[in-house]
Amino acid sequence: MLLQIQEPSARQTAPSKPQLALGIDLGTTNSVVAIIGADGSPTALGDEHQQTLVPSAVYYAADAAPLIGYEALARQQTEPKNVICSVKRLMGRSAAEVQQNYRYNYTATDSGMANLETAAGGKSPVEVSADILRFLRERAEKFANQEVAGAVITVPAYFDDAQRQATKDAARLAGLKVLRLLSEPTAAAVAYGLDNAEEGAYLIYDLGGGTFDVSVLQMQKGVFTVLATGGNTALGGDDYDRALAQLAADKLGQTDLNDEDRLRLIAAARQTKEQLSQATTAEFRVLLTSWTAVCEISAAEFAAATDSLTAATMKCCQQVLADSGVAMTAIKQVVLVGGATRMPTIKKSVADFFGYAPFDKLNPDEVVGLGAAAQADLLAGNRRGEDNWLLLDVIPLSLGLETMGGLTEKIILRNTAIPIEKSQEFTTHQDGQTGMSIHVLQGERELSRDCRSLAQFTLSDIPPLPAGLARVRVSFQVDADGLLSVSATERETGKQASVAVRPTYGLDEAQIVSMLREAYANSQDDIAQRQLSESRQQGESLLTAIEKSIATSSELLSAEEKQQIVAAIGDLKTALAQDERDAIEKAIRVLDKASAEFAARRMNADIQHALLGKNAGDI
Amino acid sequence: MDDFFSCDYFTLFGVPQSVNINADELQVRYQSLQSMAHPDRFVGATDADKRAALQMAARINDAYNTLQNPLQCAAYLLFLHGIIAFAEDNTAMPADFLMQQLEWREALEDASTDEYAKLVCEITAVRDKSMKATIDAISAEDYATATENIRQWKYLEKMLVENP
Repeated sequence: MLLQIQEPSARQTAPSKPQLALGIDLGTTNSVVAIIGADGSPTALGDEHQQTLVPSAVYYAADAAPLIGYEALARQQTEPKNVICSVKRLMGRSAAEVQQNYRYNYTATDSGMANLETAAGGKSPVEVSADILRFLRERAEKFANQEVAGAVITVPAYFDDAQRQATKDAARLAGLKVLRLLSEPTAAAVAYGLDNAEEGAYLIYDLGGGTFDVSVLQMQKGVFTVLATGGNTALGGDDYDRALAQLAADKLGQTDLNDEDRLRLIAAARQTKEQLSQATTAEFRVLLTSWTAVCEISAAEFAAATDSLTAATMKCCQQVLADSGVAMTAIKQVVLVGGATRMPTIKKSVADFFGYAPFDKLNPDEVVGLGAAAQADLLAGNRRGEDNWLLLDVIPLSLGLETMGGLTEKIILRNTAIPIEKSQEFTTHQDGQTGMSIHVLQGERELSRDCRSLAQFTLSDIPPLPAGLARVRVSFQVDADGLLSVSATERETGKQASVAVRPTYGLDEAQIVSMLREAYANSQDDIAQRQLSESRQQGESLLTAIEKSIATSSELLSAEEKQQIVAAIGDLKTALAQDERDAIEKAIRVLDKASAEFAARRMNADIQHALLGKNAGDI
Repeated sequence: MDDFFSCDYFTLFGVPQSVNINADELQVRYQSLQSMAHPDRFVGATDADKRAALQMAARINDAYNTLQNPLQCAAYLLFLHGIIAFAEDNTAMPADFLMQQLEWREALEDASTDEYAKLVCEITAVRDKSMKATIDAISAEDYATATENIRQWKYLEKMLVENP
């Protein structure tokens, strides 16, 4: 959803100079980093050859820093096992799920996560993604000669909690503050400024390197709603490359190729495919291990060889349209996303299917990153007072719990606007039962084993009471990034248990901290110094914010409350003067707790104020 | 001053306590509330502010979902009068109503396209009747009758969702 609003951001301190906020499209095949350029519009950042696409490939060597992007791809022919590609497919997934379609060597970790074996040791999918994100962050910092304040990172609309959490963990490892995880089709809609467009339904056709996504968005009175998403996670531009390579192999009479030659053939196919987007015929030339093969391929032959792939994408469109309940004729426009949509055969099929030419004026490789950059700029507070908007996202898959008999009980339904909080009461089934096991699931299927297992935890210390008397209230909170946290309260004793939902196939907090330490150990930074400076910064900005709030809204506090906050402020100032991290962190926590109620009251007063202003305006 | 963290959803949205709320009015209020409270407006704020924003934005979303949906809205009205309409420990339904349900379900399974459309029409009419009975009973402050009718309404609503 997208709201067009005029009010300035409620309670952000305006930065003295624009903050460096990144839009990052962390793609399966390619990634893009974009910022707001000098002219005020989003721009993708390129390398020294002005190439804005960064292949999502990482090369790991035994005793050297990893190489990312084209440099990694260049090593693919000689060391295919040390070049990790398409790692996005593994995010938040178990080793067992990886098995079927992944060509790397890996072992399963204790938690069941895939660990990719490389010359630099085992690498989790989160670490590989973090290396790509770090590369993008450094590109932006070098370009802008400024530290990055934060980033909006895009994820597919259907990404579940585990995949979103894995993406956020990767950002943390890369030293990036995530301003928001944003769904890819929504980012594309922002880039095209569809919030200012004609009301109605829009279809986003996103054919990436390895995945195909279709989303139907409804725009009404400046509000975007995701009506339906779908697609095929095993269909993408790479399949067109393979089909073209096969076509060439057939023409060349090559039936029995070794692994090495097959890779070379596919690389050559990729180049020929790009030529065929510009011309009606192209020369297919490949240097195989024993000879140089050449043949001619026409656009018509290519279109025919890939006809079934294109037809499969159109079938997906039909399916998603049916799911959305929107008639094909009611779609106002189709937006093309993903480099593979440059292929004339795609543009033609889309145009034939919908009866008009699709939107393609923005670079389809960059469009998602550009929209993310615009959103990042807004969230960083750089657009104060200017044209302003608010995106409201929905949860893509229902959240539920496993009940008796292995069934799923849905607590939060898919397509519910987030953030959202729901709670459910559970009771004991046996006399004197003191523990309760809770299994959190995500998915639409009825049987719990068909849904994704997000987390399993046990509530203990329930007071021993006759069956049915102990009542445990479990609350599910989904934040604006679509991430879940769970808390539980026993009603009789009021005892509370907070449960951080760490995905079943993700990193736990201890692993992340140890990876961060390792990263610091390899850099020039002193970890202790860095942590102290981060705590100081946090403490100082908290002080500024609270002192400002007290100055403007002290009427919302009783004398006693005010005294408490002022005392906590004094303690924080003392801790900052002592320059000791633990003391600062503790003082921050105390002040945060003391000001929680004050924050809620100010929020309340701000809303009252804004609503009154509006009513007065109406009269 | 109303406390938007604890007031009822009707007060939050500034609309009368009723099941039939103007959808446009709801949407306008929804947008102005979210534009004040959504966590995206608090990215650079303190943690306490962020938590307050998350809580308020979640509440606004839940209120909007509830008020937009007549069945949920009616159940919420009953809840404000101390009645949990869909309590798990109280699922008793009149026997003739349950009988009728079974007959409909069987008939739907074997129906031809024409018969199916006719049946759905028939069920929709009965659903509308129980909806009206619920709303009227709530207006008349007869909550026992409202509770009985809203349960039937929910059953029929579910059947219509499962048999589009």
